[in-house]
Amino acid sequence: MIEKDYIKELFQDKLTSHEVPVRADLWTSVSSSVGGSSVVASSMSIATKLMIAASVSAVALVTFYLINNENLEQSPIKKENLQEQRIITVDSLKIEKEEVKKEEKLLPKQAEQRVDCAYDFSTPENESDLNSEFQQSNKSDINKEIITEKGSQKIDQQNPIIRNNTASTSEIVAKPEIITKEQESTVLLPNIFTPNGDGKNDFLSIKIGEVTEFSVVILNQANKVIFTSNDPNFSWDGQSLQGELSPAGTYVYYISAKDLNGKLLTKYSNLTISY
Amino acid sequence: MDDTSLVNECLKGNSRAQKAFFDKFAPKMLSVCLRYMKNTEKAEDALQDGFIKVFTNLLNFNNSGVLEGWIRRIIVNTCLDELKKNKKLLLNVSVEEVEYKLESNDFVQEQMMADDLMKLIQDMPAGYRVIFNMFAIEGYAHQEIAIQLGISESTSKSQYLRARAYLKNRIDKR
Repeated sequence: MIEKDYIKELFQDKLTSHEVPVRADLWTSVSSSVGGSSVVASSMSIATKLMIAASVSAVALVTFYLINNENLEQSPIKKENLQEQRIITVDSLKIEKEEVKKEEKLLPKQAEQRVDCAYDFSTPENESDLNSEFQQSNKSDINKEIITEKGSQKIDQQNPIIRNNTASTSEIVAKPEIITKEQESTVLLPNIFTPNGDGKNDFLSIKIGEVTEFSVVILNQANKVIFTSNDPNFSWDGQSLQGELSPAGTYVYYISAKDLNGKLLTKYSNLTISY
Repeated sequence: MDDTSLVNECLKGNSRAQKAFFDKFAPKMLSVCLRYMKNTEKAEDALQDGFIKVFTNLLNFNNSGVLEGWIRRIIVNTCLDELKKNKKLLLNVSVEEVEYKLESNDFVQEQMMADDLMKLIQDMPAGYRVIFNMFAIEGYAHQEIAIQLGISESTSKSQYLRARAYLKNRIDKR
């Protein structure tokens, strides 16, 4: 073939030096096989780590864990930095601990509110229910922002006092989350999926531990129920009950479940469908 | 630190140098793995296996060639070994020669991002993908591909042309 191979040139040109970010934990297993001692970036001794861990109260830990957990899943490379951040924040965390305790008294009230909203919503006929729905989707939006704004979290951790004083809305949003986590720590609700048939994230499903009762309800922006199921292992392909493919956009869904101890768990999340 | 001293430090067992070595080459090599393997998980496995081979064989790297090319070869071979385990990979092709002509030389495709191209490659049928990768991007000769994959040279050529026609088709549709 005398003609120039443009396809080859194109791919060679663009892909020979193409790079893809590598997850940090891949190195860990390579390194252990190679026999090099595992790399410890921070110079902190184990004793120091233990002291820090002990000095942080359970509530502070849960808060911290939840926030960082989101962080870690998104960028495991941060792992090493987090250790260092812990040193920086340990003093401030103590302060935060006291503040958190004060606020704890307010907590049950907020939790009740939230659960009420979830229940009301299962019968979305009257107007007040619609209002509560709006509040909730607002909340979940805010919640999402908190999770996605990694940068602001770092600031939060270093200046927890400021966060407590100024960002009271974020506190209100975050607290109910903690309560449900304590009841059923295994539930993570995905908030996006792409039912476009490419084999990746084509179905919505959740991971939940052993439950005796379960229900899930998915609603569109017109508050119309487009999917329900009582199967904890449900897998939704994006088709509505009428058999139509749901358009891309934002949805909301609720799950309620009873665990083996008979404890009721209700949780909701917004859900983005994109193609 | 240049490649030579990096290799020397790695050979001394300096774990920090090994990490630096990995950090330097792993992103490119993961891209290579992703082109050969069918999903991210498999690609990451191949990347790890490949780098373990790289480190255990580092003594055999004699500084005569380019370090990156040497690593790339090991990584590609690791991917191929893995793919060969999966028998149905290759190649349900009739051996006749096929010629495809590229009608237009328009450069619309020039603007396509590398990531889009990656996706195109990953969506290709496995038989096309391997040969296209080896010939077009890694720059192997058809003869070498034939030996590596245990197929005939003409199969390699025809598979490549088909792969290219497939890609061109996909690109034009966009």
